[in-house]
Amino acid sequence: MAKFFSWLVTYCYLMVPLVLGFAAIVTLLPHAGKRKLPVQAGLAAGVVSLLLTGLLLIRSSNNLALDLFFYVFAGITVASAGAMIVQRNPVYSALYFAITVLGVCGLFLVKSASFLAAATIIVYAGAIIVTFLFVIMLAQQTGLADYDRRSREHIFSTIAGFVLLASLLFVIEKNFSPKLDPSSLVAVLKEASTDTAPDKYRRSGKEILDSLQVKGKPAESVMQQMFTHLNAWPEAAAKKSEATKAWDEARKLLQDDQAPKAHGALNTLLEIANSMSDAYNRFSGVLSVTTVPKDYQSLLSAKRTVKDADHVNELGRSLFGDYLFAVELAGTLLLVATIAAIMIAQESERRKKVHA
Amino acid sequence: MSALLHNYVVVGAILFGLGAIGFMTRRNLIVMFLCVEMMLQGVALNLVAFGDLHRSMQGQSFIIFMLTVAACEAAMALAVFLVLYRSRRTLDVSVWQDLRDPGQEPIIDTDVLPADPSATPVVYPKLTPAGVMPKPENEAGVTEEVTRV
Repeated sequence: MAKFFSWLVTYCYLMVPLVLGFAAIVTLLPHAGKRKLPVQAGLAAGVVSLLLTGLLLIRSSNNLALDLFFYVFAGITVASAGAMIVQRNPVYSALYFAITVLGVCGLFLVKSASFLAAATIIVYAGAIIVTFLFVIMLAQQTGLADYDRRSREHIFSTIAGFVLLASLLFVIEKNFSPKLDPSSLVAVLKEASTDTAPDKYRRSGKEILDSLQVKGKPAESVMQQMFTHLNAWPEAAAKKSEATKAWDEARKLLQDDQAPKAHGALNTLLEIANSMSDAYNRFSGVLSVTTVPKDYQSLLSAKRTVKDADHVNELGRSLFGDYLFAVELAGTLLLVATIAAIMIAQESERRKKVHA
Repeated sequence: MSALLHNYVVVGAILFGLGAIGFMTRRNLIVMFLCVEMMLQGVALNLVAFGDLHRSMQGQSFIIFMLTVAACEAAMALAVFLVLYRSRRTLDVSVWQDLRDPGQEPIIDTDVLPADPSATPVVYPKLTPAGVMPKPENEAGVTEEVTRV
């Protein structure tokens, strides 16, 4: 229980965008009573919540272009998703949903899933949305319908929804590696290693030992912390024991002011930090609770062999090779659904008699 | 190096949560259905991101099946909505309260809505008629005298 509370305190910063988002959604949702906050305040809360989510939860990789595209598409997606659920007019809701789908397709493209992006635009934005709009037009009355201007228990439902969202985000924050920066650790170790090189002996061992810090924390404990967060990395255990040994040696030698002798140990540490940085970029914060599959070792060494242009090829091979039976089944399902939809929507004589 | 997996999981979670809120609060059948589709989009983002982590195409193949099933689902749901609309002339889910478990308290709207500003009919500007009226033909096929307006 105490552990749970300490954990809650650690991640309490997540509550800020969540509470603001809650205020925005409750204010903007259609309801019959008087608004607690004006519409402008709700909109402002929504925008601030979106920006804070971007600042607090979204991490940047070392690729500026990808990050930029991610921010733009994710912003569009989440903003139009929020606008969709608070819209009173169902036609606008459907159009905002189309924008959400376009944003999601952009995110697919950033993950180099180009065929999927095209297919989703064609199927969702092209076909499903148009059918929805058709039905809305068919059933639309003049002006807004009464039921579109009310919502069911808007406060309690939003609380329930945000409790779900909060628990999801808390678990994600807890289980993904935090904003670690292996590059600063690498830089610190590199400096120490060059300073202890035989021909470049500049500082005393004590000075070097004191300089082994990352943002005010001792470099050793920072490295240990990174190991605990990178435990989906198959080599973590081996590297960890190696690092502990090297740290002990380096510390002892530096305290005895035998800096040149510590060069070897510091070099080992630098190598470990470098491979740690690689693993961090590779796994980009994999769930630390992930059950490690058997082929993770090969996954780690596997570079992206498929070129982006070949992705459609690979997807086709997967669909019509591994999942051929399922594809046929899905096709049959589509046919059956089409016939069923026609049968259901048909105005039969018998049903007319029932309603008369 | 591709964009971080963590970010995709966060955006997927937000889409899922917002969709759930929309599904619970909104009363229009079609908007509720759209909210469910939005939850599916959140799941699709997760599938793509984890598929990319494993450098395999299984995640993307799965989304293709998801698209297929979503299309079937949309077709069926819209057909059902049309039938429901025909019988009660509304898309309000609360009208179908009798489908719930027996013994539930009925939901009745007690709050009075303020006047809908968009309900007042739009008054378009009228132009003064000008020009010549076309000659109407009477039964005998003889054109009558044209009256200027």
